[in-house]
Amino acid sequence: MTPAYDVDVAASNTLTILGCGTLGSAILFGLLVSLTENGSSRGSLQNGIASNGNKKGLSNGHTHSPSDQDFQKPTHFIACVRTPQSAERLRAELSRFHHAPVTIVQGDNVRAVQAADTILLGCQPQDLESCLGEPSLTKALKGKLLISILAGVTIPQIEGILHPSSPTTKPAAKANGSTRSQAPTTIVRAMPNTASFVCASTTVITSTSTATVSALHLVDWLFATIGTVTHITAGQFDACTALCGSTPAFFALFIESLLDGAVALGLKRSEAQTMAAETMKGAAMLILAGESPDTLKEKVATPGGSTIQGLLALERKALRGNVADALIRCTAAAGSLGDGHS
Amino acid sequence: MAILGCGNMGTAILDGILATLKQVEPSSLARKPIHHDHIGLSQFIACVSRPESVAALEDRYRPYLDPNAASTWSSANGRSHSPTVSVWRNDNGKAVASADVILLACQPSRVASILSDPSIRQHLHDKLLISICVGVSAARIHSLLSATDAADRHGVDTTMGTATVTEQGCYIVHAMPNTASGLGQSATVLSTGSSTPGVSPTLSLPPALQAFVTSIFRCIGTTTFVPAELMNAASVVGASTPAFFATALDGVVKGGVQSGLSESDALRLAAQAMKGTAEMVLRGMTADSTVTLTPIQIKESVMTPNGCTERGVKVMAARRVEEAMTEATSQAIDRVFKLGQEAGI
Repeated sequence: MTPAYDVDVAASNTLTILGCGTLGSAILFGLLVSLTENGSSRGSLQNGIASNGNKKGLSNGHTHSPSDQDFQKPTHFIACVRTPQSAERLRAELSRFHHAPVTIVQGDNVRAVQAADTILLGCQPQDLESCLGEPSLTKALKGKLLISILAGVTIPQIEGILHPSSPTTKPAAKANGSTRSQAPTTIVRAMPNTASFVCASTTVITSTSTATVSALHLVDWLFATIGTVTHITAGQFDACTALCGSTPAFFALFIESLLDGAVALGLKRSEAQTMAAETMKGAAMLILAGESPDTLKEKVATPGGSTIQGLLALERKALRGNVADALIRCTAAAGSLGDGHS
Repeated sequence: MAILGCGNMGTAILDGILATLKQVEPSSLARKPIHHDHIGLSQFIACVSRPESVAALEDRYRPYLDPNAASTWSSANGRSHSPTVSVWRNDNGKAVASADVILLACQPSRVASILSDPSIRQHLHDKLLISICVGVSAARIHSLLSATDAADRHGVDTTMGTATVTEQGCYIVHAMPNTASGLGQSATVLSTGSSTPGVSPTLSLPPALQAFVTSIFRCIGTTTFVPAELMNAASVVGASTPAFFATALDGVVKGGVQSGLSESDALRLAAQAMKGTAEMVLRGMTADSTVTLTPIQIKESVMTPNGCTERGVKVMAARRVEEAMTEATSQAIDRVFKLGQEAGI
């Protein structure tokens, strides 16, 4: 694909993914899948907004309807990578889409951001300063919406790089042509997970008072197309990074370990994998429908039956405690990922 | 269809079938479309033994109790009348006589007495018997029905060549749905073959009947046919593991609560993450992919180098979490075999 910025800027709206790594690709992929399916939203914004008191920016139970739309949906995407190998990998991943509105750019972040209306920041946390600190890039971000999916990096930390001498309480100016280049960048933090690929992400979002309602609507819409959306406080972010971002790896391991037991007794691995995943999905949906894990266990474990033997084996090996510890360790690590950027 | 012993699972199946016949989407989202014509059932008899059960079921299926309730049935369905449900108490023989398909949904301990009842046995010819009784194999049912003497319950049945057809000419299917049936998300495993040593476990159910049985259970989720000798292992993977996943989820939730989230928030987010992981395995990298993503590949893709996920995974490895899950599966499967032996397979 040629890195041509020959888009009609007035008619289109561009989302640039600055640092299109694994998670960035997953989001892009899910967006394209969702948008190519007749523009229907696969995610569940209405169901996904948590009605708890910790949300900022949106009222409890707010339902986003098309007539409320006060933002422009992205129609074109620019994916920024660093190496030719990454560019090739991305090209291959996107090859299943005919005429995908994606431009892959390698090694030219500044122009990609200049062409953008909205930027999704997906670089490695350790590359944050080198990525954002470049003066022309910082300038190109002015007045625009920056959505960070960096684990462990807070909004104040990013603001510290982008607006080193500006107080963070400055309200965002209206994004029209003349004042845009002086307005501070609106920063929102999001943590989706790898299931973005299949439009089943669990995304958590946090923002500050500088984010406008329309900016938040855009963010909500974006992540609702690839899964559920929940607004949380900044203080909860590390815990949710682990709980939503990392646990797919844990759950994948649980499936893998069941397979070993099943294969040992004669089941074909691929069949057992499908059945185990279908069962995991069903169990998750039961819990989402309101059943507690304890109730579910009670219903399944008939007295003297086979399930209870399995559950006893789990208790003997302290499964719950070990898994809890793993998540706690993971949360602590998430918190320290952003260290060194304050 | 006569449902002998219409408890939780029988009810879930009946709910699913009725919803499909009515072509109304249930609460679940993932049901594949089944044309109602694949299910040629129009009358259902729910058989119970306790009066409280009668009252509860009649309440649940009230719109279907009256055969003249065509007014609730939209003409857009193209059928002139709605399916009907009758609730009978202690009248299994008459129910079986009236039915073409029998769903055996009673407690496993009652199977032998039900199937030795002459009023039931004499009306099974040419009919389809689907058993969802845990641990009771198709072969066991076959031998129960083939016994000429009610006292003769053991021994190898030597007529296993056409294993699913008894001397009464009754087709037998063993099905194991799971607890998510009520949501239409069951991962049901089914078997029709013989588990007698030395006999090839081919599916001897005619294709049309197998398609029919598949349609029934697709009303409540997915279906997977396995050879009879793998039924025990498959049943554990499909029906016991929800409890194992719930246990693991509980651990995740407790870790989240320790880090400051509320229990309900942590539960909802973790369950959603679990669902997403399952979706990734089932649908792979792309929404319509024919290639599935293995669990290890998913794990690798989540773990960015030196990231936080890796720390958590290392703790799980150090504490031998995988081993625990494998052990749980093996123990449960062992137990199913033992239960089968105790029942005299």
